[in-house]
Amino acid sequence: MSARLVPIAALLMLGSMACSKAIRPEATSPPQGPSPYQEATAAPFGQPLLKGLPQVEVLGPPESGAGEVPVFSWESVEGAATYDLVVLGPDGPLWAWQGKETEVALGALPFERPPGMGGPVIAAGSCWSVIALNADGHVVAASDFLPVSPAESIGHICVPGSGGQ
Amino acid sequence: MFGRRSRGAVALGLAGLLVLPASASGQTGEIAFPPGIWEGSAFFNGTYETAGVRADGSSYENVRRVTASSINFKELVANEKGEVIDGDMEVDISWVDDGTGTTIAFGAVHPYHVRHEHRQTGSLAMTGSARRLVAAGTLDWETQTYSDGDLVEEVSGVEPVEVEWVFSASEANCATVTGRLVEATGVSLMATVLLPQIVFEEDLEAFNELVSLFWAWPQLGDPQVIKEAVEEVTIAANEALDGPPTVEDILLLVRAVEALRLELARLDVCQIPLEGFVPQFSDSWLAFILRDALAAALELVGEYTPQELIALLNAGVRGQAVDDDLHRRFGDALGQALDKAIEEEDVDTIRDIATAAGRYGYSDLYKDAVAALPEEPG
Repeated sequence: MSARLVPIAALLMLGSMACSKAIRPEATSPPQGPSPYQEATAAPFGQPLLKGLPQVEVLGPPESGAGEVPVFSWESVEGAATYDLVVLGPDGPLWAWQGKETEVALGALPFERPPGMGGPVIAAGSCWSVIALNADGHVVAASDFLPVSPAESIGHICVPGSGGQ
Repeated sequence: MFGRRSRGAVALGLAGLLVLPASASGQTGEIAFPPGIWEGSAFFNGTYETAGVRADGSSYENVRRVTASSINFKELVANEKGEVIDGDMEVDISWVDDGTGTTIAFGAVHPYHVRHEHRQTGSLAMTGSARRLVAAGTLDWETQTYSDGDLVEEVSGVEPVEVEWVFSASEANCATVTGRLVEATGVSLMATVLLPQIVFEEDLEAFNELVSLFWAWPQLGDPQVIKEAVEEVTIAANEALDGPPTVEDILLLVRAVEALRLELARLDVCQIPLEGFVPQFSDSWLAFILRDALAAALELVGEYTPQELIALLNAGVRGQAVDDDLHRRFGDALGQALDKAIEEEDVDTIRDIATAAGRYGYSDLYKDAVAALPEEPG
């Protein structure tokens, strides 16, 4: 196997060194405007998907400079049977994933995508979120609706129901 | 689980498919086989149905259905120009031609039921290029005919039949080339794949739900592992297309494709990106199958719970199959589900729909669902 096939854990370790855990603003319903904490840190901040839902604490990726194939990671949620991640690009749904793990790279390859190999890539101005579902398939917790861009971003906000702005 | 689809519903679903682009990818590079030895598999599945009324008032209904299909490319050699200079296609396909109806004789109506079982086997020579991949040669053709369940004719021996099938790739990267059948000559159900998807005439209705797609991969690594992964995809694809799918059907297909993609990535053939090739992802053959299956599901929205609809949407997005049309139709389906949930005061489901609407950009649905949720205390 090639040395290029780096395990996700190693990528994640690098990512977590670059961003600290977000402090979450109070949820509103429906949310309007950017998070008041957005300029205070490089950690991922977004808007709450829904008022009153327990929070899925996101660990990465950062909202800008995430690379074309970012690794998404979050803290486990008590009572979660599965997690459901959705990435919304500027032109519509970009990718989704469902599973029991708490980290996944875009495209779900468990190692770094080899160059020339096809797969989804993050577009500038994308938004993502992860939710926890119970065994009945109901939402029990949700992350904020978070911005993510492959390179340095001038800052876009993600508004639930609308996408990146 | 589900009843037979209504004709009108099938027609609407197929009409939706007709406007889809041939490939979902943003193809910008040359499509060709990178030099080397390739293997491949063609997926052949579905039904072709016709029904009508003859001039004398008698009626007929005919269903042709693929019952088994194994079509594999062997030792397909591509040179530096991307030309296929050698290769074989091993074919073993079976289908039935089931005819029912009435005849009129001496003023009386007589029902009939005739069933033909066909099987074609053999090896075809492959030439051409990714854009025009030709498989030509002679197949052995066996046919048996039954009437009202009794065997009335058994073909003695086998009959040779000359066929030529042309496939065309719509996507290529260093690890995968995929495309579909574009031409077929000779006696075979394969030619029927290319007939119009829907025909309505005065005395005839025809519904074509046959598909023939192919994908190929470099002959590297452990061939058995790749072969098993392809078989998993084929089984899951057949299951997903066998009537309106369950969420598990769709997820099995998506996961099988991801497992195949993982094995292809492990081949590690993409270390040096090939000049002229643009990495692609959309796997148009997968997207085609998924869209067909999801469109069938959306014809029967009431058969699914809101949570299942959301799971189908998630799985479709995971498989890169949700285009604008399907996205809109899922939004409409979730809107119906929201109305019902509000009527039933099902707060959990309203919350589930609100969350999905927020994540997928359904602005009005999101506002309606949020507004329907009870105020949080405090």
